[in-house]
Amino acid sequence: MKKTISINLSGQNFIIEEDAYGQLLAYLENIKQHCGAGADAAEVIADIENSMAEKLKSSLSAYKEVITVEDVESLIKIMGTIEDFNREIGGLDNENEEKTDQRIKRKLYRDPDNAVIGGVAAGLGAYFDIDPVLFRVIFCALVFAGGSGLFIYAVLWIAMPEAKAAYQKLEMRGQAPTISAFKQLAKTGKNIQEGWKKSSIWGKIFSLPLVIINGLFLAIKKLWKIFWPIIKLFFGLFLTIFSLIGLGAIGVGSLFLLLYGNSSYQLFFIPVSELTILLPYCWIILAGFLSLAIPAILFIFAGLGIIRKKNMVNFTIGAILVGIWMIAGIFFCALCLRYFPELQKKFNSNQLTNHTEQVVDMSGIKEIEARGELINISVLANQTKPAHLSGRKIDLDHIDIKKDGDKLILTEQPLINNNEICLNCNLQPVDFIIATSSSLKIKTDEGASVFDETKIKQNFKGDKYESEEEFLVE
Amino acid sequence: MEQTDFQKSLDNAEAQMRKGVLEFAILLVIAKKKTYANEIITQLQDVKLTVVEGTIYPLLSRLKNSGLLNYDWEESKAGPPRKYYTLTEKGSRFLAGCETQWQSLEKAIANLKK
Repeated sequence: MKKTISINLSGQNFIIEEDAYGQLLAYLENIKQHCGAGADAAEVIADIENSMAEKLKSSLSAYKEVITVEDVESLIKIMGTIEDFNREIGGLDNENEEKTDQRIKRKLYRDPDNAVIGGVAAGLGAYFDIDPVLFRVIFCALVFAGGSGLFIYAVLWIAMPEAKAAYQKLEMRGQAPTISAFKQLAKTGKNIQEGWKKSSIWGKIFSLPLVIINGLFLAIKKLWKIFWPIIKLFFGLFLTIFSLIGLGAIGVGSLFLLLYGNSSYQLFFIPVSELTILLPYCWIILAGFLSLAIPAILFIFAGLGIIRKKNMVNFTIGAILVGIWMIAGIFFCALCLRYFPELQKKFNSNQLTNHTEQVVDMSGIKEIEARGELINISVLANQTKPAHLSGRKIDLDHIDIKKDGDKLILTEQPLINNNEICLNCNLQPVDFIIATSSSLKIKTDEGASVFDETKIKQNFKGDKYESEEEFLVE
Repeated sequence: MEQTDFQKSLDNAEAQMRKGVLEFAILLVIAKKKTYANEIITQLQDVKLTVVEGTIYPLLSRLKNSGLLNYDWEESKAGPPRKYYTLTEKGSRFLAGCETQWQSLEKAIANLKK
């Protein structure tokens, strides 16, 4: 795979490989130099470009849409090099000395041939025509003085494109793309290690740290190249699987809520149908579903994209989805904020869950027996109220109070939901609060617990008073 | 070493000679019929007057600017439109002059060979 460039040659559009483009550019540049300036030269160049366009067009077909290096090479063979021109017809009347050191405007690239890490400093050096060591020293200094060097380096690394093709390397150095410049470029070392081997003893010693850092960096890069795809694959897999599970759960949940909105289900002892009357129920579910499902879908595609190394969502669709998601999210939040107070009111006004107290007649009672772990007996020192049960109404309703002579028996009744399914409908503990004035025998069973403030100042868990153990209040 | 030097000077002599007759040859091709650069090249290559195509454009441009050639644009199926060249009246006279000179050159060489 190669990157291509679109060019206009003599009014014809061509798609050409990047390196082939470099070659073609250099060739035409050379001919321009050979012909010199002036109207005649312009005409000759136009003629040549015209003929090249015709030949390139004929080398293309429905199965071959791109101009390759081979095409350009064979084209140059047919058209002839500057040497051929000189041999066959001599130079034109204009000046025709080939200038090897022609300058063009420099472009900022990362320089891979002199790179120690990313080629940023080398590229800056080439751009400003200064020894890159200066930039390396500056970066190092900034790294040690607070670390901003790392950040600046990373930003530049991302911002500066790498000079990959030969013509880009010439652009980086401000050299016109002439044949001789290309030849000269081919002779230079391809990396800093090669250059180091060729340099003098002093040069070797001086640039040794750079070469060591470069070596380390190359090793890291190699490892990274091996492990990165594996890490990516796993990440992609996890992302896809979890998003799929999430999406499934969101879908099932939403459907459930939608379908059972009018059923006899209960939530905190309130029938769901009563709640749904209060709310624009369908809208909340729709908005909620969209604001959760769209990210899940995008994550699935992102995960698949990572696994298949291919972008799975095109930009338009992605943008539309994100747009819908934002609208749904805002809508959902607005609805929640709008209806939250009403829901709260509804829950607070629920008779079953309101806190109540129920006085228990203790006349003639000498002994209390409590059965069930939801019963807490509290013996309080400064209790002025008569003995009473304290808790939610629903919980009090499930405590059975029975008198058997001088014995009071409190028994916890199990919660029975007839045909309804009640979500979050659990019984909560009930306090049986009595004063210390009377002398009582307390017996706990099946997990009921006793707290005697007057005696031990400690909360006994019911299981400590396993069956039949007696507790006396003086 | 000597061999390559020899070859070099031979090549050079050949190039010089060819350079001399190239314009003449082009005019001869165009005189036969209205034609464009690619065809001229093919014909020159057929008779082993090998040239790379690029060289023909400066020559055509030079001949046109001296008023020896004229051209019309003609559409082509294969790509951009082509320049079809024809000889001007001045061009025909120039070609006639070239032919006379060529004959006298030929005669001169033939005489020297005797």
